[in-house]
Amino acid sequence: MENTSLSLANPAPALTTGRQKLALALAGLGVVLLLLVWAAQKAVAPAPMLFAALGLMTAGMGLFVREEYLTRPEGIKNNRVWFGSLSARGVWGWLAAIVLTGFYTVLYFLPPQWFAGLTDLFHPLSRVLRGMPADKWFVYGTLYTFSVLVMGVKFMYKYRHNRYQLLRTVSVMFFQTGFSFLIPAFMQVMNQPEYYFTYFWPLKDYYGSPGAVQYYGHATSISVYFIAFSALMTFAGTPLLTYFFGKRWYCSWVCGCGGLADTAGDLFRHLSDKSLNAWKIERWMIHSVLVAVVLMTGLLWFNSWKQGQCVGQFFPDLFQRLRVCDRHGFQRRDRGRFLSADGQQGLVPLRVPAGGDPRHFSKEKIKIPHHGQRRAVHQLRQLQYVLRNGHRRAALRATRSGRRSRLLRGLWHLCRRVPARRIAPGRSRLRYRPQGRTNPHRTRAFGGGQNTGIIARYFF
Amino acid sequence: MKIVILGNGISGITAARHVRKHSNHDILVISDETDHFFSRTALMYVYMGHMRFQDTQPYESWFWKKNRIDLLKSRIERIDFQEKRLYSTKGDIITYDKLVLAPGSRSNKFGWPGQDLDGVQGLYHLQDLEAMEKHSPGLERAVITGGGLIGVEMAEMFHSRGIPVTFLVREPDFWSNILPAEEAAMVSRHLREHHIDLRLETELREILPDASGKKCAAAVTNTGETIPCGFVGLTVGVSPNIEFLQGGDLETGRGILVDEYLQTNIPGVYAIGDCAELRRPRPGRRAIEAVWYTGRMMGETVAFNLLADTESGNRLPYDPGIWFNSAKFFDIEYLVYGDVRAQLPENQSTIFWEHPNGKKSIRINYDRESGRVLGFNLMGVRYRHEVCEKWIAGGAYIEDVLQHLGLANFDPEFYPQHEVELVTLYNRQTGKHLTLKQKRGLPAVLDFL
Repeated sequence: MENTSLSLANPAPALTTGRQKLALALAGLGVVLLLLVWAAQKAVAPAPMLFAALGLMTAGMGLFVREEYLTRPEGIKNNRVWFGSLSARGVWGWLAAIVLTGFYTVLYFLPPQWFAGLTDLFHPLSRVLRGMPADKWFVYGTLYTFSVLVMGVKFMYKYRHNRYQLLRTVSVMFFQTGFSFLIPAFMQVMNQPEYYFTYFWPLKDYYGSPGAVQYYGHATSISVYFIAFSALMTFAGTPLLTYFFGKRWYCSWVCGCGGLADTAGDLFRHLSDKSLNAWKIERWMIHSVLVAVVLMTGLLWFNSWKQGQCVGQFFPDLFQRLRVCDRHGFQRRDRGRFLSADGQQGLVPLRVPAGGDPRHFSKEKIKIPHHGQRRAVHQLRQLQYVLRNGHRRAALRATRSGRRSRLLRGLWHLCRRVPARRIAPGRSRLRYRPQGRTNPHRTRAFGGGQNTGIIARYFF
Repeated sequence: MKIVILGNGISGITAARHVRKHSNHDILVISDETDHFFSRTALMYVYMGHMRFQDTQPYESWFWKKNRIDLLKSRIERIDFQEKRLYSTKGDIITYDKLVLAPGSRSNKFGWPGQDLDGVQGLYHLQDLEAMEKHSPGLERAVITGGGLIGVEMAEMFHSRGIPVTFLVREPDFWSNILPAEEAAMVSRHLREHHIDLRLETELREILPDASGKKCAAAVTNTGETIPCGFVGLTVGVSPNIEFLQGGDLETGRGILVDEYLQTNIPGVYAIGDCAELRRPRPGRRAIEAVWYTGRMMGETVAFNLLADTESGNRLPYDPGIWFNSAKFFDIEYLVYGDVRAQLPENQSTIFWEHPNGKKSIRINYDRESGRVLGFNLMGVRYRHEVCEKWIAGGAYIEDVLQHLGLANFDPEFYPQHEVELVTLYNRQTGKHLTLKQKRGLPAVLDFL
């Protein structure tokens, strides 16, 4: 009695009208297409294939929820959530947990080749949006945004009686699509550093570190405003908005994480642990993370003030890794990965090629104040080159077709405002040419060719 | 001092909590229904799959030990008020110094033929829910009689499992002995929108058994129709659960008779909640009010009085304040504050606005002569309790209330506000030119309160 449902009847009758069966078939076909391409490691006709897969899933889901919700009067729809196999930790719920965890394991810990098929499939979209080939993070980001959008529409059908929920859902869909997906992509096209206008310190710990201030302060002509905006939101925007509206202004109106939880995750929200114990653990966890972020940020600034003599001299290597790891664009994923047991592998792509020499860079404009930062700066230059070079190629390719090329050339002009820090062509070709399997670190990080995008995602 | 509370519903548990807040006396709560307190009004959601049973328990199981509230699962069959002893069916004897009786209600049965068959029941106790579960597999139709709050709950429960429901209501509309005609009609419409087979002005005459003679097979109505069904829900109100107390020293009427301090005729013995019958109810209020909110208020009052007459002597009369209640009929929320009767009395006027979609309405009743506001009835719209209560208590003038109606609006943000429509309606009916001066907003409410 204590821990079981009272239900004796089969309270979740086999639903599915004919139309819902058709809808599920369409959506299922879309999923099968994705899985097929993933398994095949290669996409045939990627653009139509991607369009078909996502389109089928959208159509199927749309048809299903219309049938599910529009056939009933509007109102709260929680019937049977504790009886369903998927929603109440039954067979399907367990399977879904395993599949999702498996997906994330592959995403975080296995080399990008494991995503070859999907990456291939997403190339056309990535080229349109970012002017560069897809990488696994682009695949993930697109699927994430897709889930928020499609399941957001489902959520809106379900809560159509509630105008607050409708507006809120439109808001999270907008911020996920615009600020966490499209804008960072366009910024790459424009040769701006990747930046998320919806993440602020301390949630995004990197944005409060001296490394970020140094980097965004100099990366491009306008990037200094990004970091200024971030600081403004940390010290003025967030406290004020939270004072007036509570934390919901962020968690349920802006954040991509809350966005997924309130859309795709809506089916599972009743499963959260509401015991006092859970609340206590949560308070300990969030506050210790906050304290850790504040302390680490303080330490970084102190170290910076001490010209790297504080931390750098004791743990030059570790410190280096921490800093670089911070520089990942994908904060949620990568922080998880960095903190995971398999840190070594997670950090592999971050290692700086041995023997890098800062002499290859022009030193007039950038101060290299101390030993501790040299390597990072070195690395930065290398990547900036890769980025720029990648775009030049993209721009050249684009000259073939009219309108798109004009757009890209316009963007390219914008890019040219970035002060050039030239690398001797000969040396750079050598440095960035694929190195075979002799040095796995180097291969992962600077695989060349299609992996250019990956490198850029990693470091900016 | 050992305080024994009989019944672990909202009244008994509120009493126990408040005694503990203010004292260190021993507290023992006895119940035969469940180990721990649960929210009776949420039982329907267990059946519908919105919650598990443990989710209806507002306090986790460690709460009782931590707060030194002893719990005993036992059925009391007799009380010796002279010796101050309780006798359980298992033969245990429990002594007390002070006793609070909060045994709640039981579902009414009005002597229908076949009312004790298997598959014929009300919905009050957890055991009723378990019985409903038992009869649900394979159930092809349920008949519910009694157009009140429990009846509509039961209809919604079966509906959530896809079991067809025939709903017999004696009145010309759902709950129209309590709700004004327009609201009652709205609920009737809404029930039909959910495909409930609503039979108005129809009563249950008898229940027919199946071949075995033990289980219900059909319900016969007063119109002569026989409706085959495996379940008959009797939701025609509740009565105080006091059979085991009758015939002794305790004075009882329909319930246990109590004075304004909730004390029975026996000093040191109190009665609260559904079972308590006030000797002198306040004007306009009933002697027995089987409502969650009044049960909670009685629990608080009795806790104070249990401690007061041993320590300070300042007892507190039970003051239920201005009447209020809330419920939900499928998707339509219902709120009432103050005096709103099904039939408008001669000396009252009403202003009633209904949304074109037929699922929202606002009604304000006021005194015909003085214009003082008397009551609010809301369907599908939320008005703030404190504001309405203050208006009613202070005898606010209807036109003042209308012009500041935004103060009461308590709907979620971004919901359409209908106060202007109400003012316009009033202007049209009276030829006046009022304007809405106060829109919805928390700062103004805080100023007002």
